[in-house]
Amino acid sequence: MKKWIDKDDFKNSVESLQLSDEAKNRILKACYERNRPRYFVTRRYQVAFTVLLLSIGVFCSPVAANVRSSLKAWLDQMTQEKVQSIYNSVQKQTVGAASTSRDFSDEELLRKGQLEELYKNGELFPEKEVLVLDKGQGFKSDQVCYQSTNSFWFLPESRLTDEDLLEIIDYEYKMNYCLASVNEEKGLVETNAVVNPSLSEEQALQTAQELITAAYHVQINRDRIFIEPYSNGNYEIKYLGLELSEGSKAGCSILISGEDGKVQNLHYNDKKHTAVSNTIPDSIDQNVWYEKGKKILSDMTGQDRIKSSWCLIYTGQGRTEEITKRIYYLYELEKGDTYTLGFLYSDGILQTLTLGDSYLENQEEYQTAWKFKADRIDATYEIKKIE
Amino acid sequence: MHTSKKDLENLMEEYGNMLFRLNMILLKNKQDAEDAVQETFFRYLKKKPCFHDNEHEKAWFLKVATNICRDMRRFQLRHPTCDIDDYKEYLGTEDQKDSLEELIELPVKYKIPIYFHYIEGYSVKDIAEFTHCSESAVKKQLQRGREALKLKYEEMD
Repeated sequence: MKKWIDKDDFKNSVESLQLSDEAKNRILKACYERNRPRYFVTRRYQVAFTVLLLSIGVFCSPVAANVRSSLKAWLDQMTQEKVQSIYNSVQKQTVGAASTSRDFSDEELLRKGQLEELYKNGELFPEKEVLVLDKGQGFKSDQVCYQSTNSFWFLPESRLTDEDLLEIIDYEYKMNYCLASVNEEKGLVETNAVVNPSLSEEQALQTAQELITAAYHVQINRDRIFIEPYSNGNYEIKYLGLELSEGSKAGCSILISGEDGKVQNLHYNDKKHTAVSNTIPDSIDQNVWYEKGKKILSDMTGQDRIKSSWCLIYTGQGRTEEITKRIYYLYELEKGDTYTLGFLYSDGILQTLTLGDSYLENQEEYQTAWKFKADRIDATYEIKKIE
Repeated sequence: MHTSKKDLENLMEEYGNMLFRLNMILLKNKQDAEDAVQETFFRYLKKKPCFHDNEHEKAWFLKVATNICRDMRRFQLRHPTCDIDDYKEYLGTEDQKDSLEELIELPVKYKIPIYFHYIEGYSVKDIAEFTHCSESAVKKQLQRGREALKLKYEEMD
């Protein structure tokens, strides 16, 4: 009689569970896709803790309550049979993330983001519904089709029309709505996890626009700015309209706390700059972008007083890594907030901005994080106080 | 800071299997486990956390994955019961299958400490921090988990 599980056998059994290479690649690909601006990946379980809460947030936001009530009305008009049918089709999906027959073009992605804003605001809906295919049914080469079992979107090679994009957006929202609706009936949804921010969407947008203007000196195009409220009360704002040089397709994302309105971070996104092979020269001017950072911070926070500041650079073998192309400045404000701003050394474009705790009071923590980051790319870091 | 593709691929190599194992045990389903791995890496991309060292990094991934699994379990959208067939493709022998079957059938509050302690090698103190329980509670959970596994084996025989 076996009375006890042998520890080694037990460990071996569990360790026999391995993620296949195919699954790893699929997951990574889905992560990249989701991380792209206005990402296009539907995940069933996201409903459980993000998309579903987002949809609740969409309908419950006090600022947007009026305009968005029409989206709710639009979705509410689905019959019970229709809701159950879409719910059942989602349950039968055999893959975790949606895929597409081809990538969306940049122009289509931008237009999709703009149309989704109109859709969310209840200003524009598709005239028809997307063609949903059963397993085994063939695609039509000139029409957007969705195969639910595989979560697969067939996209025609030709440029997608606004109606095509709206039908895609509409079906994504309907899937989320149906899951939310049925699960709510079943008592599976906990809506109390939603945090109501004290900052409104308009205020968050205003803050983001001021930062973008201060950092990049561009005229904001309202059509290219997108806001996404998170269930934890924060806002993520994406701006896809940074054209700092001719033909460049840059953007940035900004996270703003819904609680205190502070900018938590900013990330600049432009493959053209991150892919170039320029590095920080051996002889650097540590003050090169210092005043620029100070001015951005002053415009953003309204505070001119900086208690202390430092310059941070990464050097070493990993010089092809992005962080070795940047020069970072830490600015500690009077009240202890420390902002770290990273500039591309060669042209001074702001790449990152991060809000952290006081550097003076948490030097060890900061430095272990920098060391860890440097070690990963065989580099070293150097921090110098700016007098 | 920005996470490059290379960074993420390295992290997947480092932690992909570990997270998948944990998720499989907690969610009992391959599809859900893969979804939870994806969600964990996506949160990493979104949050871009800084770590003190490798242990801190590993602990972050485990903790986030555990929370995601808890959320997913809470909603029970699909597959509310274990389908052991999902494991068969991974298992070499009947004994392995039995061990795993025993573990996944344990209540979550026991299998989390069992997994962290016996598979990932964490101490009682570490697990207490992970799970926000007292050390004595974790010890009790480990003890009861061990007993449950033993009892089930006796019943089978």
